[in-house]
Amino acid sequence: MTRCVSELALEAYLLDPKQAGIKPHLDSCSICRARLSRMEREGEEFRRFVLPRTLDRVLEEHGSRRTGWRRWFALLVPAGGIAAAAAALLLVSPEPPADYLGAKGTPLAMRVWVGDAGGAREVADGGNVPPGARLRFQVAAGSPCRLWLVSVDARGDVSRLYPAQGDVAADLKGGATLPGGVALDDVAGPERLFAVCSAEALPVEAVERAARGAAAGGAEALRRSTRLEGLPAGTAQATLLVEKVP
Amino acid sequence: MEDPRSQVSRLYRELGPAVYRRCLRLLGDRAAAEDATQEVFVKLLRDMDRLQDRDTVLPWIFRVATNHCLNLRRDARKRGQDALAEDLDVVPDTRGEGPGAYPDRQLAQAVLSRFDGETQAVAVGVFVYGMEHEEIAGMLGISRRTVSRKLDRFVENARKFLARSDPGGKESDEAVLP
Repeated sequence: MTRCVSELALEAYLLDPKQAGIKPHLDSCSICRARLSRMEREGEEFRRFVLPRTLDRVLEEHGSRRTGWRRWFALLVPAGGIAAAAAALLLVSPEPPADYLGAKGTPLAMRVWVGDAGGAREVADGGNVPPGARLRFQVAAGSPCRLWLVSVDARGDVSRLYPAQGDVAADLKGGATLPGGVALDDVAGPERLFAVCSAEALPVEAVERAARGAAAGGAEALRRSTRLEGLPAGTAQATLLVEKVP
Repeated sequence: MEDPRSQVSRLYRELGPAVYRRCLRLLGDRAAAEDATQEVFVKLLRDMDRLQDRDTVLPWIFRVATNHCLNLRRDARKRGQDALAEDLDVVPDTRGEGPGAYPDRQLAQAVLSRFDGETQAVAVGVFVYGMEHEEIAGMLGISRRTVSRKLDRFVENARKFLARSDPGGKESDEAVLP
């Protein structure tokens, strides 16, 4: 009898019995036949129970990644609003309390909300959220300015959150709930959100570069980085750290 | 032409079982394996072309699923969830290399978490999946020589570690072995 084959070889056999070439061994090895039977039972378990429970989530996650966002997705509501987009927004964007007024008297303030089974809750600085959590943002500035909202994780991967597209910073007057929401990726660890607002619109590249710099020292450095360096004097900033914990 | 959702559904139905089996082997818990399976598959879907290449897809699935589940085991251990991190289903010793070839296959589950990620994957390939060195080399994209070297070091250091553990099996330190 030849040596028992690996699970890789057994997987290849299950995928295409004709191509795998291990049939002679299987015919003579009761151990490998038993291993194969077990794998077939597990495969059946997947098809009967796991697939129906998880397919929608796989499709949803895959769909969200195909929108062009590398790690996040945004659902932007057009100015006029359309029913489908509005419905999607309700699903992914927890609504903050109606009495939210923003932070008066401060140059720039940001509040973050996460949606979960119990509704919406505000995320405290350093608070835990599950990987894949849906977030929504409110920002408030003491004077009109041009806003970018970005995030950076411990690997230095920067995501542009708002405005999601284009090269022009958004106008911010007073306080605003940013349209749409974002979904975090599934990588556990710290993610720091930065809101940056300036009288003159900054190039997004400058903001992204500064955000990468905040993560240059890894996870612990990112947790301590409460301000982006290298931006023009007078640029207002607000930041909040979230910990993605499974 | 097949629409994207149908394509994803078909691939998940065809290849999901292979992912699920890897996750079951390494996590030993059906609920955890179910969650991990969908997470791994979403990662795999990032490269659709590769996912549809029947010649190379299985080693790739093994690598992505193994790395993902080893990370989950590591995280569970950090959180003190030993149930997930302890039980590792080792393959029967059927390689015909004699009783002294791998003196104690339970070494793998006893000390696995003390090694770096790539060495863990090599050990899992040998002890859990029963893979040949060449298969492991293909899975991880490293040379056979590197596989042998890492495996030798794993067995040697695992023996040393067990030798200095106390008689009750309590671990004597928390260092990560090279």
